[in-house]
Amino acid sequence: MTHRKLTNHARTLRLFELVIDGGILDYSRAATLSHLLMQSHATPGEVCEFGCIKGHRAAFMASLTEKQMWVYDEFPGPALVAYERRQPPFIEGPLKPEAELVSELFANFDLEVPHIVEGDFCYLNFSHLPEQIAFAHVDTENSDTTKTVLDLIWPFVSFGGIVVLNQFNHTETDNVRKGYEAWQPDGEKPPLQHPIATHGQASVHAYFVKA
Amino acid sequence: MTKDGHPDVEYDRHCCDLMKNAVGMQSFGRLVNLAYHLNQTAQIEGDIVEFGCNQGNTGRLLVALAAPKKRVWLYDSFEGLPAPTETDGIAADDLCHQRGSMAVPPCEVPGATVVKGWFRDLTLTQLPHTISFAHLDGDLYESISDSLNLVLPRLSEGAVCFIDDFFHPRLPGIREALLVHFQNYKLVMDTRGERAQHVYLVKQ
Repeated sequence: MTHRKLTNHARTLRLFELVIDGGILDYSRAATLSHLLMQSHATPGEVCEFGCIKGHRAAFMASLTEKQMWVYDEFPGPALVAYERRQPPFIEGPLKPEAELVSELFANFDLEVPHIVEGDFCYLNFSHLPEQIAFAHVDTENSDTTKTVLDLIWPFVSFGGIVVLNQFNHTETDNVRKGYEAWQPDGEKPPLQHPIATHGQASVHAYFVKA
Repeated sequence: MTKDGHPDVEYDRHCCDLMKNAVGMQSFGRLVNLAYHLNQTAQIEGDIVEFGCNQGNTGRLLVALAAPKKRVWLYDSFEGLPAPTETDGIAADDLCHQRGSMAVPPCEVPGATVVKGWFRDLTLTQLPHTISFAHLDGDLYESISDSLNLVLPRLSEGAVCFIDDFFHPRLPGIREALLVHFQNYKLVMDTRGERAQHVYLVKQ
């Protein structure tokens, strides 16, 4: 189904609905993500999402920014611990259709098609990143991958740039927290902020700002 | 999430519907900023107020998102805007004519206390003792000035006060009203979300 005739507001609302109806984000996380993304409008750099799955959340984010989107995923599913898996990275073939669906989704909503990087995150290198990052949404779900992504992107995050760690405060897994704790950036580690969710409850995600 | 902390797609869907109803009077960006800051002030002492609630669409969202024990107060004359002053300028006068009368029947918003009246005529019993979150949507110098007079002394430490249309090029009275009041309070103005057209103050 194409949504190309929607106004900008209607498009954002439709994508907001898709993200919520699909259980990809709850209302307060979606609102927080939108708020933080809009805070980075004036920050130099592009917007990245690590773990974009089928791209609905990335398309929603793209509808809120004029920055270029860069999305990363193994396609399909969350990345698994794979340091020991020495497979050739970023291969064409069976992974392709999932990435094509992301492209189609963006095109159907008349959004600029994002840079799509396929493959295991442990094989990512600097050439797969934009020159500067204003905003990153990290939805990696395991500790090694979280650390890998943070190690990779940190030098490219602009001052004032925001990095959101989804699942950081998940009640059933501390994988993302462990990944953040294992991460040792050059210089002082930025303090984490823990947004409050609806009705005063703790939010599942956390974020930090590069000062 | 529901008020007892469980994931609830129905509740999220309900909030999404309220958001859809409110988009038009408010942009999507403004609404998510309101929602974000309303959540961040959930543990701060005080109630939630909106001055200039009109048909109550934003107010319904505020009620849905409000933390337990917080009361939501919605204010409007329901008779339209006061007459623009010289401070508002000719552009504001034209804009008000273009928009037509903002007079609407008093709205019903379950879970909120709706108060009908001009802001300067409100009595102490019609206001909360302390405020954790305020949304001022009065468009003109007088209505913003009157609502700031009522809200600023009642803000708790860490409370957030949004002023809608602050960057609207045809509503300079809003900026003038804020400048008059701003110096008397320890406030931080955050304009990073300025593309959303509003500004918010944080009481320190």
